[in-house]
Amino acid sequence: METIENMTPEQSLAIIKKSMEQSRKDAMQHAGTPMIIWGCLVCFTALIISYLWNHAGGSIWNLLWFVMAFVGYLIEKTMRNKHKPTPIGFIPQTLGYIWGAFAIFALAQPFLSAFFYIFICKYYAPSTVTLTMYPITFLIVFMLGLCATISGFILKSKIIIWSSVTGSFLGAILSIICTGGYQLLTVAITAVICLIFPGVIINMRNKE
Amino acid sequence: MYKPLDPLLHSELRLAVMSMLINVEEVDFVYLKERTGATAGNLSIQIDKLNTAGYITIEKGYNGKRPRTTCRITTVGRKAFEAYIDALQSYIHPQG
Repeated sequence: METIENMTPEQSLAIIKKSMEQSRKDAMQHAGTPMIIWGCLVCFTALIISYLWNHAGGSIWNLLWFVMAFVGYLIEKTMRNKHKPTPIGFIPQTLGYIWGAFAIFALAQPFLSAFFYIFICKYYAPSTVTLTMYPITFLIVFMLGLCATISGFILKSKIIIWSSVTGSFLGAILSIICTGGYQLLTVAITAVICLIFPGVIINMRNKE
Repeated sequence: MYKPLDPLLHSELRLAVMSMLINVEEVDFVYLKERTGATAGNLSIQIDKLNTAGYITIEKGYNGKRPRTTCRITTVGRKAFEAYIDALQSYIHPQG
């Protein structure tokens, strides 16, 4: 492409249309891939922790979530370096911010749980507070659904909105019913519905 | 009446660059070079002109160990682009 300056208005419009469409398409090309990667990681980790919790040592295996976050970070960094440079679109960037915020709040849950247990239940008002179990799984599953639903609204995808709402409500209810390591199975199911499924839909839509 | 066309935008390469930047947050120099098919030298001169006019900002940094140059459209650039489209319309659909 040279710097031709005697273009007709029609030629100018054709360049604008072609370039805008190209950058928009390229920006959305792999927008669903991070959701698929993180969804698979969450699902896989939840299944491993669930098994280990029930068969070898109890809830201490939940520390594997931090290992998962580190592994996910390394995978994303490696993929970003390997991929050809693509434009950073507003939608993929917004989705990144939403899921980044989810990661921060989800990883903060164990610390909030410790605060809740130590300060509220033990010292602040031990006689008035009867709830001694902080519902970590319930909150994480609910937040997962919330973020997936917002993603669905941004992408204007009814199927993502409804699957996320259904998935998170179902997961949240199951997380209350189930106990111990079995709670993690609800996280695995919700990850499939709220992360892997929307990621696949986003990538499929962009291939069309 | 025909509206005047911004001479800075009425150039094939600069117009393509601005059009690629208009609906994304930022674009890599390597991407612009690949998509426009321009030489690195020519592209560099053209984006420098857009940068001088305040239409885009150029940020130089690193992606790991590799140097990376990214371009972003500014509010001034966005307004100029809109005015250019508006002027183009007056040529395609002239009134009065």
